[in-house]
Amino acid sequence: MTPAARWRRAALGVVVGADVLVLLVAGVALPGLLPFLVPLLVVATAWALHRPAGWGALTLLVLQVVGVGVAREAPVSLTDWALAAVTGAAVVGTHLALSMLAAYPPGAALPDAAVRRWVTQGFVVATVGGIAAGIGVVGSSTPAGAGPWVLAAAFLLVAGTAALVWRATRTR
Amino acid sequence: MTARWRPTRALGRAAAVGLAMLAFGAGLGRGDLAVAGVPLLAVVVWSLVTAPRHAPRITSRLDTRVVREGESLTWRVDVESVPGLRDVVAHLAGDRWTRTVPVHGHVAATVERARDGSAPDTPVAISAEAVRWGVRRLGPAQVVAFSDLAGFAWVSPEQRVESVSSVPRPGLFASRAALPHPVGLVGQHRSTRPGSGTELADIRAFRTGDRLRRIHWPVSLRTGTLHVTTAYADQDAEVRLVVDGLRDLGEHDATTGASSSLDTAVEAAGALAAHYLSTGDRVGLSVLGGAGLVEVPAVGGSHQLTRLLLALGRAEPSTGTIGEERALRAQLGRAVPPGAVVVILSALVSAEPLAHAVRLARSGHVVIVVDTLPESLGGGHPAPEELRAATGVEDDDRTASLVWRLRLLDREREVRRCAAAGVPVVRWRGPGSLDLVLRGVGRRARGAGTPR
Repeated sequence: MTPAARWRRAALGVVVGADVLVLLVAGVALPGLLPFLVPLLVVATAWALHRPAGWGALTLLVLQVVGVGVAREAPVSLTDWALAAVTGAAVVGTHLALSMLAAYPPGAALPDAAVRRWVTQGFVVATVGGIAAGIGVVGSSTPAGAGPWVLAAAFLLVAGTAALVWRATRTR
Repeated sequence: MTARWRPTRALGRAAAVGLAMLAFGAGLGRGDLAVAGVPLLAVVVWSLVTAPRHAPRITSRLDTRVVREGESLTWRVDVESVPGLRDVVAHLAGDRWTRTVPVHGHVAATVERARDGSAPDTPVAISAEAVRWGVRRLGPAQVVAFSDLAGFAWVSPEQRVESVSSVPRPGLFASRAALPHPVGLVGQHRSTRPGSGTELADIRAFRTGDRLRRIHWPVSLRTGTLHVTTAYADQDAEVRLVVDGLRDLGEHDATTGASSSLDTAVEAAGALAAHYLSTGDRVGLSVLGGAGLVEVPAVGGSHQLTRLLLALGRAEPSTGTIGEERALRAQLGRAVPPGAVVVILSALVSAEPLAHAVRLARSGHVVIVVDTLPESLGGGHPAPEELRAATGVEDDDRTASLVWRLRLLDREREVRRCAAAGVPVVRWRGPGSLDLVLRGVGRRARGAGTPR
């Protein structure tokens, strides 16, 4: 069993770490945004951690996305797409950490199997963001005439992902 | 009664933010926003694909409904592992007199599935320790189940509340003083009449009908005529314990060891019962006050202590209803067998038990009153909250203090009245508490030449 103090600290670390990541990604592109974004994120994070099942959690996710969206331009380079994938992982990490905090009572110790499952599932959904970024890289570096092919490849990847999810969960 | 699986707020949040990011990404030509939204949509898809379709069946049970004070019982729940169910969280609410382990009462469990997808029911267990004796309400016990990524939740519609009896632990008591009027046929008390007991009474000349094994050979050889030993008969006595549950004064605190008046009365009654049953006497019990009529007829034997402790566990302070008053009158009017020793355990703040004691003493019974008022309330300086609870005066500490002093004066007057009627009042101090008064009562009985 993972003691409540440990898994709750880990979840809190994921949320704060995601905030720091979002601030870094936004701050490198537009440093002038930080004085506005930092206090907003601090307040929203405190609110979300206080009531993980409430509106604070939604506000925090929106602020993370809006912060990065306002600071950065449309991605063109491989680095831009990689940063988009990292931002996606941070946002989904925040979401899953808050979901755990909302689902389990504050004092409850978690079975190790549950912790492993949450980490694995979080890794899988974050990887889906990476796959989407990969499609973005291919799409942005392909001549305009190959658009339909890229679109078809994207659909195939989505279908493949759905099939993988179905296969992974068939024996649930 | 079943409930449906319902989507959680987390699922709604992931869907809202994910779809919004995808829409803005597509509308504004911002691929990075779309990419950041895709993992959230993956969470939604995963949750929907793996959503459970059926409500699980739960079976819950307590491993026992009767525990001793300070012992624990376990509430066990088995949740059917329906497809899609991943985690189970159970909660059992503790209260002032029931301490759950863990203290917050929450326990989480996860479904363990085999490779073929089958899974046994998921067991969850929460322990609860009975901190104080009495009939306790345990619960409500709740069960919540979650699907993958906490996308769907199922709340058990059945919130079970169980009644658990916590049997008091008898205190320690031992007495070297004999009971004054043993009248039964068997027991360990020496009768004043000769009989087939073990304690030597006399040596006299042999008469027709004497048993040969009673012949005392040394005296017979010395005197030249047959002599036999005679013995006193062994007899048992009846002890009637009367617990005054009309008021419960003082606070029970397991951490500091503080006891209320009813705690002390119950502990003392248990101790007296254990002692006198072990000496072969018959012990009965009446609890005055409370909603349920608690009466145990006087019987001896090893099972009687269990009966008495279970009955003591049902003792509760009176709430002053008409039904309770009727029951009290019926209990006080009940006849006490001749020769029975009546021990009234009371805080001496209610008039009825003391009047009962005086009435019984005047009708020739041996009556002993054991004072169970907590030391903190009987003398010294009681805490303001204790005074407020004892007097019912909530808003003014000075008035509460004055009311309590008046009540103590009234109590002293009642004690003097008891003493004048020949009813000794002693404070409960565990082993030997009653020795002095029992010896005094025995001497008084012999002095008066009462043929027993």
